Amino acid sequence: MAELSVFGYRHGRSPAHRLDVRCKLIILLVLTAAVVAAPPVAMGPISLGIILLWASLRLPLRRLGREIRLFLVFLMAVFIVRALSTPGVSVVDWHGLSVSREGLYQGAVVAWRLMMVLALGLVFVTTTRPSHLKAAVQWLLRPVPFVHAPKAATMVGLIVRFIPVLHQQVRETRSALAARGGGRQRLRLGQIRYLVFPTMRRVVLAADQLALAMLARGYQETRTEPDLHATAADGLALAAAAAVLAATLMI
Amino acid sequence: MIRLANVHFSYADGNIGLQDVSFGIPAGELVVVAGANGSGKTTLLKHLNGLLLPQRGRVEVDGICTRDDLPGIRQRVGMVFQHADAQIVGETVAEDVAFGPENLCLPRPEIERRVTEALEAVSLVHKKHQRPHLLSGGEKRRLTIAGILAMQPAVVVFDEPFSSLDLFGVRQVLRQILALKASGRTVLVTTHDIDKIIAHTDRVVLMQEGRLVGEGPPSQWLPVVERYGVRQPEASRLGVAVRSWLN
Repeated sequence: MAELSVFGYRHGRSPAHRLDVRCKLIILLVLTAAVVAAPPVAMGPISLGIILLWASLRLPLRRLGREIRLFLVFLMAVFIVRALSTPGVSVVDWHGLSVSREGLYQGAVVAWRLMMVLALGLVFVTTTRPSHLKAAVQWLLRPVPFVHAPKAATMVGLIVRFIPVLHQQVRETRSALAARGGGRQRLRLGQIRYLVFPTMRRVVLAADQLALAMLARGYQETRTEPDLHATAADGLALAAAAAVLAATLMI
Repeated sequence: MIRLANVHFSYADGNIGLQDVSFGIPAGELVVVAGANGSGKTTLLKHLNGLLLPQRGRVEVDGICTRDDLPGIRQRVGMVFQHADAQIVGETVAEDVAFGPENLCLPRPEIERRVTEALEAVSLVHKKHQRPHLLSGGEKRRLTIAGILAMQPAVVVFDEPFSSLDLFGVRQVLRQILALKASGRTVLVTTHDIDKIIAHTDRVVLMQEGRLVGEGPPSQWLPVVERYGVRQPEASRLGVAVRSWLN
């Protein structure tokens, strides 16, 4: 249990930790829009900013790499598909498959954008208590008609709470498989079902137990919510994020 | 005061959880609910906390029926689950302990006071900002106890509190259970390993296949507990042997 997923809140005193969660949520949306809309030339400064943000959290980067390796496989797949499917000047031809120069460029840009969006999401999850996130979602949804804000916010909070649980269940199932497979850590494609079905069963059981435990402690939708306070620093951070988005749209 | 009257419960798959169970527990007692696996111990505890409602009969805590006031019952009866990991809902130790008081809609300063008190009681105050999943097995069990203490219940029920704990973990949890009893709370503990707690027990409740098969002081039931899938404590076994030798 000592090694734990980074996909969960970590107590800290970084600037990102201190921001009001409502502002943080809006900043996340604004910066994600900036990353998606930014021309390639603007990706460098934006990436530098996100890397500095990461550095301020002082998270172990090696562990981060290990935790997000499945996402890296996904990004690699995106890169390969782009490289193969984008028409342009051919760089490699192999058995009818052609990799174009434009495809390599496009693939790299798309994969890098996704990587930055993932990094932003991780900064948010790592610096935000699920209870605060729940309160922020509730606050944001309050004016929306026909949406039961407390219920929707509870669902969001539980999903965030469950990301590390899911991760842990996958790791435990893999360890159990490795223990019975002569210590082999890697699974062949055909063996994925041995990972997926037991993991899903364990996750459902864990969800059931968690719901029981919450009920046993008197869970109800009307409860004391965290005090949310926006300060001048939040306004500045929001303005900075808006400026980044405006700048990327103007380039 | 806890009172069960003709309680019957069966699960959706047809398995009978409890059959016509009736007994009462005076306030302030430490009670061990013993029985083999599947004897209905956990089902019984879930009835006390209102997680399960009887299909027939009544469960009352301090005169309140579990059917009538679930929030009130859950405030009065705290339940510590067998698997601590399944009970932890917070992303930090302090946040987890605050979960119960937040459900009681208490003001924030009162919640913070209760969290600090509860963590001090289980000696975890220095780990309040730590992620709960990084705690040891004994610490996690103590955290779940703190989560219950912060709700200030009159009754605390423990489902197999000693399972998967090493000697130090058992001692720490036992110390907490005895402290709860000393504070005047009623404590129920389910276990099939009664050796660890029997010396401090006021009453034993024996379960078998969902039925109550015995209830009373430990001295009355210890000599026969092995009939019901519960290991007889060594001291009791020795006492019986010495008595028969003297006779």
